[in-house]
Amino acid sequence: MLKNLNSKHIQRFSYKYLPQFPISPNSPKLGFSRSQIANYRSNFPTTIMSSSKTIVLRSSDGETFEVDEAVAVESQTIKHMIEDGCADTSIPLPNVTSKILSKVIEYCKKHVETPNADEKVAEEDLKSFDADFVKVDQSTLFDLILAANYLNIKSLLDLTCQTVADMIKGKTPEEIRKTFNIKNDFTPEEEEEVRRENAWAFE
Amino acid sequence: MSDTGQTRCVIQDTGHDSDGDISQLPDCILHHILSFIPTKDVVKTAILSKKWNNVWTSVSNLDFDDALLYANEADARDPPDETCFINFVERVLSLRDASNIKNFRLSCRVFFNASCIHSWISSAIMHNVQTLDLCLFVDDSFVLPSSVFRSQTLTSLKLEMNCVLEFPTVIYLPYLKTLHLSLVTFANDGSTQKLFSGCPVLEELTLVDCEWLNLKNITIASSTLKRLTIDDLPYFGPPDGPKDCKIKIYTSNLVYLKYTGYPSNDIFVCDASSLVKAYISVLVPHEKQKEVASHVVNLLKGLSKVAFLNVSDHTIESLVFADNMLVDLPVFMNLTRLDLTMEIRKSTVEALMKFLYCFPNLQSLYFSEGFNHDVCFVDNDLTCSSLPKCISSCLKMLTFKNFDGNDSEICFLKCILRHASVLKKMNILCCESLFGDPNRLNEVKKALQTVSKGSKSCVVMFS
Repeated sequence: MLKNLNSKHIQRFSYKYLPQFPISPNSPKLGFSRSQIANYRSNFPTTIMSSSKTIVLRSSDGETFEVDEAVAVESQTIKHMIEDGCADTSIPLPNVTSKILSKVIEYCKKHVETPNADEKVAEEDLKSFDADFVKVDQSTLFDLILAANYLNIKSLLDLTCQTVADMIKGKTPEEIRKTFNIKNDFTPEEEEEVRRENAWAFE
Repeated sequence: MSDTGQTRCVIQDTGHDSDGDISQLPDCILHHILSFIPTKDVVKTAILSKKWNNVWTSVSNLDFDDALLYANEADARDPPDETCFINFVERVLSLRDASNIKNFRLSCRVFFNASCIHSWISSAIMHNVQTLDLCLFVDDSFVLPSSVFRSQTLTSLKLEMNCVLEFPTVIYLPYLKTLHLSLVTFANDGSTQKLFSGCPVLEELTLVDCEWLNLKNITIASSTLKRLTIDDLPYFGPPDGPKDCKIKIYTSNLVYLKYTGYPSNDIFVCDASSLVKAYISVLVPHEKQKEVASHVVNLLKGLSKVAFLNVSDHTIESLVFADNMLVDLPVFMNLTRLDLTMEIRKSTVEALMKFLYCFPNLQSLYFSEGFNHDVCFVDNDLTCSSLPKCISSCLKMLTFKNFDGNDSEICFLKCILRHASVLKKMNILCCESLFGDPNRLNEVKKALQTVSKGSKSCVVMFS
């Protein structure tokens, strides 16, 4: 059916909304207005939710990314925006730069593509993808944490926070300060007091 | 610290300009990071800087483990001071602010400090804990605070205590979804029954190494239960006396059942109409073979609706002693996949063939350990009529792991290939010794691939 559309039809309305319409070039039903489409959508929601739907995301620096809806809804934030009908043109993400957004999209794509089967191979492949994914500099890692938090992608948030946690675990406070460049603003007396209060932790 | 500064929506003290990026993260994220770290390390962060000294006090995960006390070999000779650990926990709990505790885990020995431990657990409950994980090594007895069994916030309770579990008169846990009991001794029928009925939304129940000595009749009835695991292998071997406890299970929404045991208790799965997967692993102690066989048959009777069954260890062996009880075995109409996680021996082959008659719709069969050398199939043994019907009419996939290449295995597989008319795939995973002997491997491959197949589209794969 889509092959019957000529460029005039595609200009007049987004072909994404029409998989079930009985389209022919001579059909009198051409030229749907946005409200007509919305009306159709509310009556037949499932027909519009075809798997080929894409969502456009716009990063804080103006770059746009077109992704499959299935990938975009890995983010609960985006999922709610779509459900609330705020996703007609594109979704602006003022808190995420294009550099970070492209990485997040890469993560979501990989996790959506990998089937949830108990396939050992797929599981290990995903694990090694995750391990490589977080091999970035600290600054990028923290930006990924913030993006995962803002976009509400639990698995990414857990992965990135676990990575930071692994950098803290088992280290002495001096080592932790060095790793993360944390300034010690205690006076020697204050520091001694804190140590004493929590003696067992420092043994 | 580049242009990414603008992506952060954090209100931050500009006095800490030289601070690393990490301190700029909002508190809730720092809490999330710290939730992956044991409490001892979390407390260490108190000293990093003034900001961090405030962060750790509202971390919602507390994990206290006195195993860290015994970390050095020196500790074995000269037992360290428990008071240090006790003081630490007391200090952490008192310095903590009033925010809710989400996950509380405590693992320690209970000596003279029973009252302290009691107060810590009460404190966790008062802070609306959601996940409580207690691993207490008890010398004598220890009674949990009764508030544990009335918590309005608990969603997951894990108890590992080597003593009698005493319950208060009222047990009501309206949000408990996961209950995991390990090593506990159940006191009597009445109170144990109260526990199972006091959890109206329970979804997962796991009982590991519990002591059923004092129980005679228990009913586990829950319409919400989805997963049930009973691990009944006492550390010191099978119990001596006759201690059959009858356990009746009414769980209409149960999806997953796993049983490992001797099985000393008689389990009747009276209602498991939604069961999808079942794992049965049984060991057979010497003097009790008939008893065990009858228990296993009883257990299998209740699983007739299952779609996937995994039997391991000596489950099939126990059926050898079942004799005419095998007639009692139900027909598993929904079963499409059977996994046999054990080595098939001469003694079990016959029982196995009889067992296969119970699965008329079997589509996938998996042998994880292959055949033992003592199995002796000869070509004439396995004819079309002696093979269970499911193999010739339904079997689509067969996986044979730990393939040795011995004659009986080859004979068996050849027979399957000849008679399985809808077989699509046969996966043969060779054991290491066969793989290292390419000549024998090729011989075997040839033997199997030149058989006239009952199913034209069948593919035999070696790996």
